[in-house]
Amino acid sequence: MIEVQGLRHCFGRREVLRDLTFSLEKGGFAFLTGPSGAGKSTLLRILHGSLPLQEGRAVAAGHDLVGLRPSKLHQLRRDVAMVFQDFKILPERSVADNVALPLVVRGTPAARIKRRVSSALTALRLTELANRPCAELAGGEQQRVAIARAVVAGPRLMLADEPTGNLDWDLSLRLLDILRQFSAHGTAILMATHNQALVAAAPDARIIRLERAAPDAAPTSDAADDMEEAP
Amino acid sequence: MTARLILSGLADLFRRPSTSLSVILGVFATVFLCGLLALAQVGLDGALAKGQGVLRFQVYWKPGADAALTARQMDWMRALPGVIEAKAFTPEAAMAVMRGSLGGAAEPLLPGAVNPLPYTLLLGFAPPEHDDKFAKETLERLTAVDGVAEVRYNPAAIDAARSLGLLGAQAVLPLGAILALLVGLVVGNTVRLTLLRRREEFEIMRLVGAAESVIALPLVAGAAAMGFVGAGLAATALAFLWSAVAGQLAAAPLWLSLAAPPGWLWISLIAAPTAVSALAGLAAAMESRP
Repeated sequence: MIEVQGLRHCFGRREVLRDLTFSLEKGGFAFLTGPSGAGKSTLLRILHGSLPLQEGRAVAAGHDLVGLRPSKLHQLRRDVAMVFQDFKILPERSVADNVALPLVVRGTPAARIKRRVSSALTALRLTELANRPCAELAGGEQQRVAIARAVVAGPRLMLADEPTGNLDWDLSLRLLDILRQFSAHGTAILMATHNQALVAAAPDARIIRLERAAPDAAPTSDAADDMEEAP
Repeated sequence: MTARLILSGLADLFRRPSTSLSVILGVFATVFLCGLLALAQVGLDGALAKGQGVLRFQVYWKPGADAALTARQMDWMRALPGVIEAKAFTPEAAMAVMRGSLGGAAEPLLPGAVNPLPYTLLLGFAPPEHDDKFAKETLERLTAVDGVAEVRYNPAAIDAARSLGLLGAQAVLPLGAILALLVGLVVGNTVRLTLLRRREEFEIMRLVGAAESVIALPLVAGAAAMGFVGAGLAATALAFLWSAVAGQLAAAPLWLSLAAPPGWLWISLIAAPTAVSALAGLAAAMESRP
């Protein structure tokens, strides 16, 4: 589901990813860990097509990212869903509308949208909030909306960037359980997290650990995360 | 899919009613003001052309001309190319008009037995553009008719008609271009900037797999709808205003009758802002690309 070979990525002169190689099979579940600035978000954004592939080779859900044309980006994103650290939900729209968005943009028939949204809301325990505008929700609830939106269309690969960052421990465990269930149904999941306790809670999951690039390439600093988030 | 995207673009208008309303009002105000200027220009142009843009010839027959022959000659003249008005006077009709004007004072001057007045015909022509010889040739044709004693016309009239044509070319066209530019800039930018406030929403749609057409089509449809409604309301208001003003001018003391504005003007007033709005929607979609 993911094939990465010799991946290298720089922001200006600063090297964030160096010679990264790994793979993740269909239905696989892997944690992406490492210190701040190690390039976790950068890797996820490359695999989601938000950052260009600079060097190396990467295939995500069957889409070769080498020379991926902007006009084909939507096809990649229909197979590769992403849960963002800052949720990226539409605050003025309802929970159900937000969750339905990936299906709406695909032109899915209304009856099917209703059915799939309903089951995603049930899985994330959001049914009672379905008609509430997302702006009125707490951070943890918005996080669950973002996850429901990612799973609703049944992606082949899900990338999650710190999805438990706004959740308490119980909710984090429940989310992990939900993601494992989706994984068991064939969706490959790559989840970036700082939370070592959560990693320990899933001992059978793979761990892909990123380290900060060696200092000979360029000076490292705490500003690296900010650079990763730069548009 | 296309119909659903168009409907979703229309539904978006109701999702942000105050924003949609402000755009519609912006389009309305711009189109109304531009339309007002255009209608004023068309009305002025029409009134001037009606009053001044006609080349008139007064044809006099010799006294005692044969009535039947003169009537046939008048019919031939009325059928000449370019004739837009014709008014004939028989000697009797001319005498009646004169008596009516002069009253009893005319009796010593107008002997009852012999009518000295000739047959006359007033012909009005719409002179063709770029034909400098039209007046001269028409004069020669009319003068050559058997029994015609004299033909008079005002040479300055052809210049007046030409000046009006020049006014159309020099004033109406630039004014139209300025109005079109104004509509394009004001309407286009209002719609585009309003839609660009939704840049974040478009970004999220792209992140969940929306193709560019899925973002652009609802925007174009929504923008075109706002342009159509705003321009349609402006055209309706202008039509009411025109009919009220035309009614006022047609009464005493002005008795100025305005020709109805041409259909193309009404269609342009609605179609141009609608098209500009749709293009602005497309521009907003393209501009929002990362």
